[in-house]
Amino acid sequence: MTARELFASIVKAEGREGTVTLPADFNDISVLMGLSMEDSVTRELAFIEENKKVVPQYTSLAKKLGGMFYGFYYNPCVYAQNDINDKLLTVLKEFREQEKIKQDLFARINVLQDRLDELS
Amino acid sequence: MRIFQVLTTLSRGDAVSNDTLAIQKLLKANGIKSVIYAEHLDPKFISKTIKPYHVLPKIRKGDLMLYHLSTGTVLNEKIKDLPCKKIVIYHNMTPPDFFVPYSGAAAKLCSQGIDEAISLKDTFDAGINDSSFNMHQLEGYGYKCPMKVCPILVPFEDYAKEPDAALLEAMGGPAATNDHVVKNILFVGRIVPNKKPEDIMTMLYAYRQMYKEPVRLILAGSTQGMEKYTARLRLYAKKLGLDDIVFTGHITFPQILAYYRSADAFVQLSEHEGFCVPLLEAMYFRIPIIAFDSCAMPETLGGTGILLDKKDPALMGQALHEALFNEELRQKVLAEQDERLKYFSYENVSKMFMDQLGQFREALK
Repeated sequence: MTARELFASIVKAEGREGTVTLPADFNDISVLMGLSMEDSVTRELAFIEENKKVVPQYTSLAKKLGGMFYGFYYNPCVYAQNDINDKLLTVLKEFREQEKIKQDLFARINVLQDRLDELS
Repeated sequence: MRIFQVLTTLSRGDAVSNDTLAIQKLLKANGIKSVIYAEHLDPKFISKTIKPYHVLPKIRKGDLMLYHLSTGTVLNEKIKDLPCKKIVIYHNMTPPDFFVPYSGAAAKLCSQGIDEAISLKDTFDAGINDSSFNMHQLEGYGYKCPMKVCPILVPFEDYAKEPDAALLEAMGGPAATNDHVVKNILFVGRIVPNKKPEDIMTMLYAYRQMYKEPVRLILAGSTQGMEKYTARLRLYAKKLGLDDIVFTGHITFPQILAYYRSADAFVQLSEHEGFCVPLLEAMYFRIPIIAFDSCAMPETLGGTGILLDKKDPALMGQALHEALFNEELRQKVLAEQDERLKYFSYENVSKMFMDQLGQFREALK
């Protein structure tokens, strides 16, 4: 007898299927109740606040010239700012997309509520 | 013939990355030099044989590319017109529906990935798939090239390394030599909707309604990018009165070793997997597995483990109790899993991969 066959025989003998009722259904838990969009945005904005301190630019003429010729020095402030801007754009894009999904769902809820009202 | 492996992201702890690195090591052991090119690359990996994709050299007709297809990426378009021979190594893509409530970006990437996989149906000269499940999916997309199945190559010797000692002690020590008062139930994988950790929570709730012996649940995996989903999971756990679930977040390799070594049961109730490497890991660490009959998991298990065909809470709770405390069942499960693991041994899979690669190289000359 395989392990699965043994387990199946135990299940059949004890007949416990369907005997546990859950106090909550995962699908009934609103994503919005779990976490508001604001939390994600807040976290990202906190990251941006923390990183927006200005990185001093290179003031040495020699380093600036070296960078121009050999490309190994760069303005770290520009790259840091670009990185922050990219993160902000990603967050805002996601926010807009999620807002649209939210609006669509609210519209659907309204339609279903109307139907429920008609039936009751 | 130059051989390249190409993939989207090479990073630590990722199954596709690990497979890519293992294949490179295998090729090298067989006297075949190869280079990995990745679109996104952890700088720590950069070497003479691992490089960013943008430095890919001019590709010649006689070159061979092993392309790891696993997600939406600009590379899916870029490789189409390359003149070399191309073998797809398909790792499957998660259907976007799982992610729609939580991340529009993730859903879009999955959707894009599937569209791109379909658009690549005439691009490849051959395919190597992690599982028959994956192969059938590509066939469904219209792939007509010759394809074979070869499991993911797992260098099991890495799992013999030292675990995080402090964590292992905190978890009650190795399960093999300690009779834990509180049994450790382990899930390993990213905390993402297709892996259904909420169903494991349901299992835990049902178990606690039915039985007295204490257990705790460890969800070992990163929650990055899934904050909304994780918040929903936490709220669900609260509503079920489960206030002691461990969400580990991203963990180090020694930490994952500690969790595996201290686990008394391994649960995987996913509804989408292309292969599921953690099942092999659980087999290696001799942990009885409870899994859901879905996608590639039955194939990977090969008749072993306790496979549930439905997610009835009481059935799941009972499965957990039997796996933990029914010694006869437990030993049967472990013995069967030990036997199954031999199929996935490094030696066996290496031979399979090299044979298949050799056949394709010969046919593509």
